[in-house]
Amino acid sequence: MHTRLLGTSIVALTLAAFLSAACTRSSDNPGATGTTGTGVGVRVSQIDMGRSLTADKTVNDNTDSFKPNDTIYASIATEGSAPTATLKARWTYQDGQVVNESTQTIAPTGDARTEFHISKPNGWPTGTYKLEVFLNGSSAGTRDFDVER
Amino acid sequence: MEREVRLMGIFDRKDDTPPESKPDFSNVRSGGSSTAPAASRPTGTIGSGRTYIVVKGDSLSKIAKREYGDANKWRAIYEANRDVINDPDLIYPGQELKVPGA
Repeated sequence: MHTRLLGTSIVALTLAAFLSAACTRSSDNPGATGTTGTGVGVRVSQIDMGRSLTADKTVNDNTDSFKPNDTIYASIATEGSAPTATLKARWTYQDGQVVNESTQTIAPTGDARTEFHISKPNGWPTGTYKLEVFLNGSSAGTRDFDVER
Repeated sequence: MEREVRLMGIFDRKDDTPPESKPDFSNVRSGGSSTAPAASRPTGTIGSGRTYIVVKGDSLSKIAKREYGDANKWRAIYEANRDVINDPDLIYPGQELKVPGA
């Protein structure tokens, strides 16, 4: 009897350990970033930056170095579909100041490109900036860039 | 004594450059667009209000008329979105605005 109980316990513990390991691997998967809990998923696959865009919202000139009078574009590639997905771009200066924060709510039905852009009429202060992109409230990636004279 | 203090002040300074002032980002303009269809109707709740995605041709008055039935209530939307609207006459397609108490 004791032997049977011991055997059953070992099997249960082994199964629990296996399931736990499987769950851990699943949550560590970077591809899971930004997926919704509804079974329909969207993920950010790429963040590009440049000074201008093509008609399909990709950047013409992928760069992380800008001039003070540039309009700065970020093109965010997403994969997947969802009834609604909220993309937020938060731009910050090297001192931590939030330069701008804007949001778009999209209803993607497959691969899509969403662009955010910022400009400053009297020119950007030189220095280092950071763009952080959020998908449905979770950080989906960052890009650092510089403004130089 | 006063002279000593002044001299110490001079020697205390690391260099002759004036202290850097904090950059002003209040006039930053922003916008955006997507190849994906926009969820153009109010899509969720923020606090006690809703959100609205600006489309081409919108103005705060038009949005107020649509959301409240009164164009004169545009200021309520403006005040709720001072963080993203610098000039109430300038809003951009793709901007997400909070619509308080709608």
